[in-house]
Amino acid sequence: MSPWARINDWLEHRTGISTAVRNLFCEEIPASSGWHQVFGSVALFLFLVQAFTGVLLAFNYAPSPGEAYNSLQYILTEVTAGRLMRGLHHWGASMLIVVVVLHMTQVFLFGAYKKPREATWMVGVILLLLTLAYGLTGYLLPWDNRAYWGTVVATNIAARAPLLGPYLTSLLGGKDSIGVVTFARFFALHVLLLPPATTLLIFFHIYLVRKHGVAPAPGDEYVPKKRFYPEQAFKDTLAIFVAFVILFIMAVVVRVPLERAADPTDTAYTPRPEWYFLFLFQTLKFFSGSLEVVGSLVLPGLAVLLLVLVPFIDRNQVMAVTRRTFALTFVALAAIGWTALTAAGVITTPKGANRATIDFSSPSDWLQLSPWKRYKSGYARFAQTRPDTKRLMADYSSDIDQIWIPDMNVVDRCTTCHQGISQSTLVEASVPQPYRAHPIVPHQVKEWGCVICHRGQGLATEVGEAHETTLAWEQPILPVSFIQGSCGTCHRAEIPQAPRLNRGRELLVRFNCVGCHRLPGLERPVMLGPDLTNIGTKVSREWLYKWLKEPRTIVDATGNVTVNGYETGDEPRMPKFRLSEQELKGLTAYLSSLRSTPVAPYKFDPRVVAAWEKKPDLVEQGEVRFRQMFCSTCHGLAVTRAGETKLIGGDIGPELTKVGSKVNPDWLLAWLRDPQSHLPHAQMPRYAWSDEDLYVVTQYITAKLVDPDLLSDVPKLGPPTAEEVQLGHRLFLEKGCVGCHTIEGVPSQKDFGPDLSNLGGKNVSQLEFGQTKIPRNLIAYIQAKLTDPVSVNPAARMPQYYLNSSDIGALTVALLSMSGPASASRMERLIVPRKEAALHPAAGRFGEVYERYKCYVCHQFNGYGGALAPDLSFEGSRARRSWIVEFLKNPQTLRPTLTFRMPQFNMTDEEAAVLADYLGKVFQSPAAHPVDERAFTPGMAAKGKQLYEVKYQCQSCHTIGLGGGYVGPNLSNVGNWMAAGWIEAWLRNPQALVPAAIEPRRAFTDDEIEALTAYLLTLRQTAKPVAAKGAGR
Amino acid sequence: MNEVGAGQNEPGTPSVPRRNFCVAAIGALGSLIAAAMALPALMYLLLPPRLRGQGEWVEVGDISQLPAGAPAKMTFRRMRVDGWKVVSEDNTAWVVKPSNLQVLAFGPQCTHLGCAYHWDRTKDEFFCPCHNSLFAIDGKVIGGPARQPLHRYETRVEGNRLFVGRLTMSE
Repeated sequence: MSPWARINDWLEHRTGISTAVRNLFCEEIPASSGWHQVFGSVALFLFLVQAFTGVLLAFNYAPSPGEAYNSLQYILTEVTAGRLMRGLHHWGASMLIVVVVLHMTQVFLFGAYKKPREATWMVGVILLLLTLAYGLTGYLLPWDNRAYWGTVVATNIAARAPLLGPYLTSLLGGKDSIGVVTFARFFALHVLLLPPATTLLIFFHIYLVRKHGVAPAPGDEYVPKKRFYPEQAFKDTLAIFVAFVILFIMAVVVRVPLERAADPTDTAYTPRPEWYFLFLFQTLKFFSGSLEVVGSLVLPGLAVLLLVLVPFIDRNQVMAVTRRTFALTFVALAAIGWTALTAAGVITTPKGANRATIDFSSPSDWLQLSPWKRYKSGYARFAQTRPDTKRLMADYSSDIDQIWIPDMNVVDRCTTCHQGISQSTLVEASVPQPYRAHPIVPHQVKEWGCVICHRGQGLATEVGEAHETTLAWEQPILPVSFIQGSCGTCHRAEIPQAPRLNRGRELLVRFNCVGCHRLPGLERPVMLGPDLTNIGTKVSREWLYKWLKEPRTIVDATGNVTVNGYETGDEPRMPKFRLSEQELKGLTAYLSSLRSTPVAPYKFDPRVVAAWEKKPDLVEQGEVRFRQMFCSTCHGLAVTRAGETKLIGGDIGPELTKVGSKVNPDWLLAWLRDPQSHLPHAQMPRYAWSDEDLYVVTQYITAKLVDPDLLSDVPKLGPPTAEEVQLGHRLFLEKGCVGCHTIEGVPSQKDFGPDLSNLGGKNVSQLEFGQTKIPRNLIAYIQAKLTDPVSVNPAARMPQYYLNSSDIGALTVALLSMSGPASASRMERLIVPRKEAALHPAAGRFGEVYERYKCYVCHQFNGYGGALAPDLSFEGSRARRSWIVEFLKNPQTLRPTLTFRMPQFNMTDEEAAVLADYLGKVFQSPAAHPVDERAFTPGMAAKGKQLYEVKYQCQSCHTIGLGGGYVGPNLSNVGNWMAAGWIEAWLRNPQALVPAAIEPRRAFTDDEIEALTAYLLTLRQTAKPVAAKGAGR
Repeated sequence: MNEVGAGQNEPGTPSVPRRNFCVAAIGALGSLIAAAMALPALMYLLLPPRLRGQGEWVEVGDISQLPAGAPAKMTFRRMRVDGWKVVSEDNTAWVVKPSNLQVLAFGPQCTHLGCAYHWDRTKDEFFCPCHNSLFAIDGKVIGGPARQPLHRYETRVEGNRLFVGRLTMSE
């Protein structure tokens, strides 16, 4: 006996297994048995495949909602053949259902459920239901969006069952939503309850089949039976093999989707059941409202009941299949109905729904789990579509890209996603973000990183973490409109590339924010609010009341500041303090009591008074003199010409339209004679007035520049009482007036308002929003504060400034640049400091004159000073000394098109001489060299004239005598005015001397320059200009 | 349909060739199916998963103050892949500079059965309290039941900072 036979024998004797197997396989089956009966075996095989692959999957699967997804990803991406196993299990489920239905259909059509096989059929129906239950419970186990939302729908349907609904819901483990308990129960059902139940039932089913034998067809009783093995067994095996091949191919080729991890908050997701439930899903659409139960419970319930009762409904004799018209029709109709419903279900799936499918089809697909890796590979794909792929991919690596500059504290990983940031060919707007290149800016990305300018979290590798405020990092990216704020963190001086920043800083100075807040790097404006030490001598209590109540004293119905009907953009700098009646009374009382230095009335020369007093045109003459002195160069004034009211003049000094109604006449006289005695830091020059001028001008001012109704709406205030004064004094301190206004004896208040030197670096959590509806970010906070301080904090002490939105934006930019001490970021070396003034303060006799007449208010000297008048840094090289002296004594109209004129200061000869000497010797240009004028001949001059008039046509811009253009200065007296060396240098290259000059740079030859210079030097007006009346002393 | 031929026993029984074909086919198809299921299953169960993100260098610390010939225990944080999870763990290493040119970092577990050993200053040797294994400063076994020298980390020094890589079995 062979060893094999011996083992067999032993087993047979002990267990009887050989006989059992033989009986099983050698059972007798009807002669008509054939291919149509393979489905049962195939179904059994597929069930075994499901069990096998299910166990294998369970070896690597974590059955809890959070980890289920991760472990499934692990299986799909890291475990060898993991994707195959999952594919087999997924498609195996679908195939099993198909085969089970086919098997059932075959049994139904062949009438194999008839007596005595009713029990077999009913067990089979239960098996069908169990198979569907497998499908339902297994669907949830991946815990992706598809699983989650599909199950939500299914459990909602169950919940709506009448009577049983709530119990079903608790059985399924969820009260309101799918959670960990539901998951646990579904897993337990799928893996612990259903398998043994199914196995038992299958055994039972097969036992019953075996007991009654395979159902015969009509005519089988006349034909001998055959054996199951090997023919039918072969057919079964082949069918199994075909099914397996199909399954295997599907598992390898057709991707099983895994969508994003379940997101219970994703309200945009469209749930869809597995395809074999779609017909049910679709049926539900026909029954809505109270009829819903019909579609969800009644109809399916009925269907199942009918199925179960089929053997009792049809008790006829067994017939040949072809003669079973009713059954055939029924099956056909059911098939059509089911197909139609399923097709409808498929078609009505919204297009593009649930696009976020992560398909793990390629080996590197698991890399796509990180968004930055997706962007990177997206860039690689994008680069393939460009002509310069090689260059675009030159620095490409699959890792995180990082710009690391340790001594600047820069760790920026932005370039990981923004791969094309430095690629010049990716600048067009058609390049999709984040691959587009950065616009040209002065700082290179590689040397500076990104966060220095854009803020945000450089270390982050996810979009949200990088761009937005998160719990861990509170500084979001700066919106592009505010990016100039970042320029300001290093550039303390003005830069032309950041106009919004410059404007913001200008406004911070203008409104004297430094008066209350600490703001580094800003000078106090030269003109703050006036010194109030003697304010009681200047204005009346009523005027103070009107001013404090509303500094914009001339406001029209819509709240626009107007001057006699003309809207002016220059608001008064003083903000509004929202004062109550009581407070107004107190403050006005206090202020009007400030008269420590009484104004001594000025005694005019009695002859002057006598001469002018009676003149009928006194006021008109006063106006003429006022105009001749060009007071409007610095002061604004509303004038009515031809029925139209316009605001003319400058904004260096206060607007004077109604000054006559504002100030005490004695005060006015004192002021005009010596502004600095009343206000030491006043920018107004100290004119040298003759009594006559002073008299007529003040008469004009007090007669014409008035508004009799100015104070008509002010209540009668009377003299101040002691309590009012005390209240006012207290209020003066409490409101922080000292930030802008000084009063002798009142100490200044440091840090009246919060320290803003690090405002740009503040985190959102450090800002107090209270209960307001302001968006929770720094920029919104700043802007709300600037627009209306009370809207942010009802108890704010900050007064109300009136700013238009563009100015608010500029101020926000400037404030965002306040980012604390540079040492905190180890970037002191990067700070570009503000240039210190080179000239100020000037010394010596020149300094005295210079200070008296405040030349620097209008003119610039080596970078310091105002921009209203020409830059005098090179004046010494330009103008002849004698001309300067003459001009200072009597300023002429040099450029007719300009409206501002240098006022007449009534300087003494000595003062003019000092200025001319200093200018001449100190303010020289290196480009202009002294020229020996004796070298110029009349012949040259004639040639020059020719060049001037014919070849170059200079008269199109310059006037000589009565003819010519008005673009450039009048050259009628240029021979007396300019030095020859300057003229030559100017003609050679105007922009080298004055960079912004609009004179075109002609390519003159040296000879031409000589000739033109010679000609110009001949242009001298010999007659002295008529001196204006009253000029000089 | 049913041929009467040699080997035929009863009506309804297939002929021998047919029978043989069926048997052979059943065997072949069955084997194919079994193989197609078994092989991937074996690979699935037995092959290790594709490692990701391993082998990165981790900074341990500043070794400039480490005296030559005196090991120090240094801890560092490292990410470890555990199935589908990535875990951040504290690891330890015994770091020693046998000379100023060389740095060794030993794994913290004794090569016998995995207990934590320590440096005995009085005797200038590593001592494991579980079963009294002894190791020299260079990791070699000098006594006790351990058979292999101490496991070493791959090391790299940049300036004063020590970086360690994977833990390897010493040769």
